[in-house]
Amino acid sequence: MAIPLEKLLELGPDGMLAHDEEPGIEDLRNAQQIYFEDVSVGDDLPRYVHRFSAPELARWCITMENTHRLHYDIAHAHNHDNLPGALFHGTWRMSIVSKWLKNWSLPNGWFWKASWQVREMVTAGETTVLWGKVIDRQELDDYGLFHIEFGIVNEEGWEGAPGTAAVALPYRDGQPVPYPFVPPEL
Amino acid sequence: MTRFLAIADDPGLTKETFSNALDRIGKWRFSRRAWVVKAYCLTDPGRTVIECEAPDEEVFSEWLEQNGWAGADIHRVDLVQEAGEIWPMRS
Repeated sequence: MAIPLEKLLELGPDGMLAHDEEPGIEDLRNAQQIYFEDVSVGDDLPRYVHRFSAPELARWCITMENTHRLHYDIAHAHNHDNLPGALFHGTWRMSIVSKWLKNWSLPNGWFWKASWQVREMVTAGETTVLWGKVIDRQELDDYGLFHIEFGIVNEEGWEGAPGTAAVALPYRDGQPVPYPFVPPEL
Repeated sequence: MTRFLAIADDPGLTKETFSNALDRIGKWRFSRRAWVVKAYCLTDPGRTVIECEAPDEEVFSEWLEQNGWAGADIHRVDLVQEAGEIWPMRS
């Protein structure tokens, strides 16, 4: 069982990294389905603990064709934009959240939607924790739906991306979540 | 936001004490609107030079005192030369 988020933050940046729960590529290829019946309100989702470097931010700039200098040019970020360093991209946070919920629902679930805000600035070299907690569950006809509260905190516990999401998981004795996914009317 | 430079006598300064003072985000980003941009450790003659971005001098001065650098000379910076460019600082 994962340690509470508050305890994780007490471990310090290096100690926190040892508690990364992101699955490896082989784990994803052989993903064991999590079923609706396996998850309760209050459960924590796996936490992804990472320390992204300046080269990784630069690589995301290339990927997104986003050449805004505040993401990779530290002199410009400091002296022109008056920022503490090269900043994480909003789109990168979005991609991390999407990957995380997609991974959690594999192979037959579906990450439906997420809504979140950009709050605290995150700079290269910070240790970050993507965390999530189930806040509600609904039994629908063909699958179960989970509502999740999540965020990305840094090593000081500053919240950088508070949000909520919805993920559909199949029933243990049911069919995979229908694809293409048609959003339910709630 | 204003750029400040502090020069503090720091007798007994070591690489370890310098590192301990600044080795976590929460130490160098000491408020939501104030952070260390760059810091220099001069073990001989025992001096610390810290460049900081802060809304006003008082915020920086208070942080310096809390970290054992009370009495540092604090100066407001007008221009910075870095990476081949001259950057005007806001005041």
